[in-house]
Amino acid sequence: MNYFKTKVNFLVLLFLFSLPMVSLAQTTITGAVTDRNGLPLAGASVVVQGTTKVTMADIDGKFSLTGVEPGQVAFISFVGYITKAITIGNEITYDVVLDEETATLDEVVVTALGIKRAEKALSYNVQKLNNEALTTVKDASFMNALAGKVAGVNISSSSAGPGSSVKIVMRGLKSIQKDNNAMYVIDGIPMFNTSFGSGGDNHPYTDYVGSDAAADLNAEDIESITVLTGPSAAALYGSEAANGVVLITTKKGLAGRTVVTASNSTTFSSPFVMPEFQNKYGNNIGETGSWGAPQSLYSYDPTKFFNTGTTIVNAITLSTGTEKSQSYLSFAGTNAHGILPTNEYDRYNFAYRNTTSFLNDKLVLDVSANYILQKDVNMVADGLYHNPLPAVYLFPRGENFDEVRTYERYDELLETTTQYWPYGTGGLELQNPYWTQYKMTHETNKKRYMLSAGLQYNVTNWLNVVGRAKVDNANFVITDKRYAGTLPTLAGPNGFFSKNNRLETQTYADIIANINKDFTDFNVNANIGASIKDLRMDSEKQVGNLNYINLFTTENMIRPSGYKNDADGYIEQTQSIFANVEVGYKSMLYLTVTGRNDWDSALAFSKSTSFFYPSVGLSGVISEMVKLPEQISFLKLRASYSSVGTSFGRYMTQFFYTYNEQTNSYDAPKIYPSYDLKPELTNSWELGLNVRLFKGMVNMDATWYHSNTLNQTFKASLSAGSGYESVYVQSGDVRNMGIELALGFNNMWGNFGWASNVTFTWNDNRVNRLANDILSPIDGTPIEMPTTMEKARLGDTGGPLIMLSEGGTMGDLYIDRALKRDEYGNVYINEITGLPQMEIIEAKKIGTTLAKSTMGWQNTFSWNGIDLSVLVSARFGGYVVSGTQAILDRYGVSANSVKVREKGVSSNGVAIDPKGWFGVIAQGTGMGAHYVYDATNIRLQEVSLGYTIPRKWLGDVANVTVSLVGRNLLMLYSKAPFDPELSASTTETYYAGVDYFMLPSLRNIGFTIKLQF
Amino acid sequence: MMKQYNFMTLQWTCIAIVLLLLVACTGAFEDYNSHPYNPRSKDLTPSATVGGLFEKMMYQMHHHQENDSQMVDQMVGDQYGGYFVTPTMWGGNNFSTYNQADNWNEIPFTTPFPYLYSNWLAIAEISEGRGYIYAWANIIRVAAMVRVTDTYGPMPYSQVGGGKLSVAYDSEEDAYKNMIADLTNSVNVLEAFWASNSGATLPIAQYDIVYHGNFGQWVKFANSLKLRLAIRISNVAPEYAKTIGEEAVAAGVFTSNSDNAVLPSTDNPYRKAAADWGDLRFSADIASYMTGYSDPRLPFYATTASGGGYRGVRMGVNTTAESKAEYAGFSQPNFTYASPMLVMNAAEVAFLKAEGALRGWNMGGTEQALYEQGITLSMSQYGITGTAVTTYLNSTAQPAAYTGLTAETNHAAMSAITVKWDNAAPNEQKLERIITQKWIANYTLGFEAWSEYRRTGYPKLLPTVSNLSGGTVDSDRGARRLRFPISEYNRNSTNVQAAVQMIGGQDLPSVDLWWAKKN
Repeated sequence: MNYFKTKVNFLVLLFLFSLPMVSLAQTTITGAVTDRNGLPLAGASVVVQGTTKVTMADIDGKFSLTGVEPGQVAFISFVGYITKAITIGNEITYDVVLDEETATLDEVVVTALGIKRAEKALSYNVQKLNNEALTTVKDASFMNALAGKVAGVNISSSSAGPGSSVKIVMRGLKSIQKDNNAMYVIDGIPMFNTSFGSGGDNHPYTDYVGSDAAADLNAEDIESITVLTGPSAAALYGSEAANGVVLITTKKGLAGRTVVTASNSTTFSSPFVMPEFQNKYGNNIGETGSWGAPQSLYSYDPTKFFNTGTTIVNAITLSTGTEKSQSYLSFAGTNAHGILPTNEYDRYNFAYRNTTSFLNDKLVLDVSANYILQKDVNMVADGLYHNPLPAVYLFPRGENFDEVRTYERYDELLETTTQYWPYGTGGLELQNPYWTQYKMTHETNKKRYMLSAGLQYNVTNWLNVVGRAKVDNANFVITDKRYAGTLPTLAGPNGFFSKNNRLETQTYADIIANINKDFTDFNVNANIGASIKDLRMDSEKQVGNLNYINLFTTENMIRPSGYKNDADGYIEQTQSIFANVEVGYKSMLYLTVTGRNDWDSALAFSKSTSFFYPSVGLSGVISEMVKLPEQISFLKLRASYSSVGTSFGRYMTQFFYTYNEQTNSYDAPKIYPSYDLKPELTNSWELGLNVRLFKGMVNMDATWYHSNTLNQTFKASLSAGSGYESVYVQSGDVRNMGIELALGFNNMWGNFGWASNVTFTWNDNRVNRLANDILSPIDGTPIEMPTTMEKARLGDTGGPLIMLSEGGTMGDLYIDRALKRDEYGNVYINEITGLPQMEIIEAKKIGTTLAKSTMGWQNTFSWNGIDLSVLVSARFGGYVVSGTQAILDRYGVSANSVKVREKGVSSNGVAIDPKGWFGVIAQGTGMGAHYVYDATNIRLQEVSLGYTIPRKWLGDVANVTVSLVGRNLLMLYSKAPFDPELSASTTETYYAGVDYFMLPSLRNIGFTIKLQF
Repeated sequence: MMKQYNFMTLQWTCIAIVLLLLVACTGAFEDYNSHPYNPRSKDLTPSATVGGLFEKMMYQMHHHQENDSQMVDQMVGDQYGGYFVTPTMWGGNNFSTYNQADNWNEIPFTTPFPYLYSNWLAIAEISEGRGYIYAWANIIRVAAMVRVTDTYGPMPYSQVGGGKLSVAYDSEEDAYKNMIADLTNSVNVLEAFWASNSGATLPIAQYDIVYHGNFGQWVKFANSLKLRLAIRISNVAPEYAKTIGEEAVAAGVFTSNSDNAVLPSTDNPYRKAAADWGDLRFSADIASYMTGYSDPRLPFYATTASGGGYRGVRMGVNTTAESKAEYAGFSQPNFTYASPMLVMNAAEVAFLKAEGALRGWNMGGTEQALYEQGITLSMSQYGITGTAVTTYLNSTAQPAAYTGLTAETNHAAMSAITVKWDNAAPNEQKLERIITQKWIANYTLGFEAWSEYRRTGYPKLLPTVSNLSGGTVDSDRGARRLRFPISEYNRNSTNVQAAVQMIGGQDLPSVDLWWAKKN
């Protein structure tokens, strides 16, 4: 949105036209207008002060102006660039280089509703990333490239490989019941980031996972990303913004020149952190576990099961335009093969955007269209049923793995091939891992289009009105085919098929009046508007075993037994009015007040019909107020308070019957009918400091924040005698307090440049109040609630638990099993079995899963077009849990099991059988604290090397940029047997950092070639 | 200037219009916030509303939902009652080894309560607590809740409802007396209703999945259930039990298999757990008795084992990851997906009467006649008639010894009881004979089997192979009850503490229930 600049130019022109004409000795001047890279700026305007002389640069940036006189001043301006004034002297040729607007200290950032604001006016923290941070070497999901580069943000990538969803949590976990993921806003329009089929929360029975709406975006189309970590920054985006916002600005066409870019980005992936295995001991015949005698028959390396993953992104962009109309066109194809055989992710993005101004620039029309075709196959994050890794990792070491590579054999009775796997299910539903990949096929096909139009009317030079509308519709077809021969738990004897048709639609529209008026010492900048957001989903799913063998159609499903039909859907609409008023005093003190009122359809049938939430912020540019030492170029202090309301979930306010697919009838709700609910509220404070020293050579942004999330809606479990399972109650207060720090240094020494940036995040999460002291909505008597609330069992019975209690964190890790000890504190040995015993103990807190702090340190060196960047990231504190390690130990396939076997384990001098020992401590997914690990880790997150070949070397045909990137290159420090930053579920709050045969995280190495014509 | 002003007015008018539209637009919100596929009460006719609720309640008499069936009937009732065994290890904390985790231990309580009462409370509200609908609902309530009190002991019963979120427990005696009183009331109301409506086609009939609107049959069911309850407390409240038992029989109980209460199924959970999941096998107990007797019902009860013959699995073998696979080839319950779920049959009623007669109650027949009637009814339920039945009635075969996978699981037969009635035998032997045959006839009514085992000590059942209870359960007597749910301690602590006092102050699985003092 460059309309401020346009308007300024317009004003300048008006002003110039109004001056009286003066006649003097006249000459002709010529020249060329270029940018810093020497690219011509076609369409740049050249205006001679005090005259009607005006011209425009041609396609090569060249201009010529006759009848000018020495001493006159010419203004050369271009959209997005700083206007330059030249005084005409005796020369005839003037080559003018314009600087881009953003290159100044007075940075402009995109804020709420796509409006550009001077950074100094903002009372909250914003962090900006340019396109290069995303496209140096592309990840199939662009958000993964942000890891370690912004403060206050925790990015966990999914273990499901390329294209899978990414979990973004800003400033700590806030909501106990709702998901805590940040919101996405594209060109000022919110995008509801839908994802479904997420892993992690129901392991070991987790289903396949899917991609998410944000992963669909083509990184090449993104101009820049602004991250607003706090809710105060986002009061204008509505409820979801309480969790922070990722603001995406997409590319527009460029005025006056045509630029074509073509790029190829190729990335190779391999497992990064793998468990340590053993190959020394084989199995006893007929046993799955490898607890037999030493073997030397087979050397088996589970890592060999993985392929080298490849992600290839080809993109072409075309941008062209005149001063009045600019167009942008792009195409990108992303083809990725994961490290698991048959796992793939393919995406094709088509984008078009046009910005045109009419009626003397009074009317600006911005239209865009996007079409996305996406397909993914066998995207698995963790679990047993659809995951080949349990069989790969646990394969009995005395057996020949090559035998099972031929995963199917002909079965004469079935007249078809069927699974070959002579090793049994091993108690873990093991199947031939190749069968799992080749004969159980889960495929998602998505067709998505986004259309948007915005019309801006510049009413006066200080008022404009913008109306925008966007539709974003996605159609999914998700199929799941399992061939005959699949484990009976997962498919009938003739196979299994499931088909789901899902339609998601999002519609957003708003109208905003923008006022920007200067008074003598004051500037008023106000936006007043109204918006409507409408989300709809409709899904129809059929699941069943097959009648004819391996004929995958819905008609061929056996009915009624085992056949399920599931229809689901929703409509959620929010209508809002909002206002944002910023008053600036002499460009040094800014006061911002915002307010928003939401009418949310989820509130229907409750007593509240709408909710209001305000914010107030103050920003003072100290460097403008007082004379500071010369070294301090810029100093700003800011403070803000904001309140963000969130509606409770839909359908919570009335009684309805739910379909039960098993009984084929409608169930009465087992939730106590109590419908007087209030919206959830996050109140937060933030204080910040922005400093630029030595003309911007050193800069620091520091923010302290403090937020309380209140009125959380809990499903409080009821005593069974009430006749109901639960009742909705509202209580709770979760406090997050923390620091975000970004410290940067950059300088040029001749051709050599060095930039060093550190981001640091510290967050302290505390549950101040849980759902206690709640009165029954019916009779006013207190509802008895446990003082601790069990949120999750991170594995099987006996594994660690996440429990919430007042004064604790939202990730408190408890254990309720421990080795029984005798009166001397030695591990008790049962006389009969000769083994120790686990006993049930009262739940005991051992720590938290939440990180204390995270850090990123990026160093960029540039020299003659060569850029080298090294990013190290670190996380401190918190625990993770590995069920994988427990199972590997129990089955005797881990290096650890060999260590114990060879070194022995004993208590008070009594030797314990190693197999029996693991049978006790590694029961289920590991007992108590035995498989809990410190999550602290430091890694070489990213190294990139880029080189731009000088244009003239290539005969002035194109700019060629070549870059190499490696991500997750080296784990410098980690005590966990898996990558602690990896997450199987990106939507679940409590299962982060739990490994249950999660796919390993990936080490990616790739290159990009980009040609710009 | 004037022009600008006009523009301003225009803009503000536009905004004002939009705002007004917005406020006016929220009218559709109630539709939006209603689930597109899940109906509200207003979307359904009164009969459909109430009818749907009945269906759900009825399946609480014998769980049909696959997970509920597995966690409640299969793991607890059927396993402790000697019908089925779960060969799967899961996390290693199982009912079969008496070390079930807290969150499993509570499921037989926390499943039926909300599933039954969320529906029952809605019916109570709609019917205003009277009329045939309410009377009908109360019969189902008793049939479902007696399973809970027989599992845990005291339970919330008479105090449930009225918006109370923490409900006090009835002692076992009170619960039984209240349930019996509810059955009597229901019988009275339904008899009167049916007397004047027996020919009518009621709209509710399509939702009555058991008797299809024939309330005369529901009266018979209520009386039969009352007899079952009376027999259960016959040792501890002999006089009261006799009165109730005789009253029930006089009012009309099941006499033929066409009276049987069964729930229809299209997705039989026993079939699913056994054949699809491999998580359920025929028990060594019932296999031992039936193979020993060469029982002609065996092929209807179980599939043959992979090596031929009928082989059951002993409880408590599921302590290794391999056990599920090892026992895969053993006998399974022989059901199809469409096999119905038994709630009560005429054979059981005959056996109940036989025991009543043994106790000197007026049951309208002799012990022997009623005993043999029970066997004959059970046989004919599976289409077995004629000489096969006569041969069986005269059989003096004894239960077979158990041969398992390993020598450690082998076990001698637990009892030498035969089929043939012996009028000269002592009462205790007669009782064992009646209960053993009732147990075979009641196949898949696991809770009934476990309760009667605790009350009478019959049929004699094999001890678990591995008792991991840490001494809280005696292997020979088995679990006598389940501990109260952990969730009750968390959410209803005062009342559950009071309930613990009712059973003697110790919430242990070794505590005998009120009526279960024997064996």
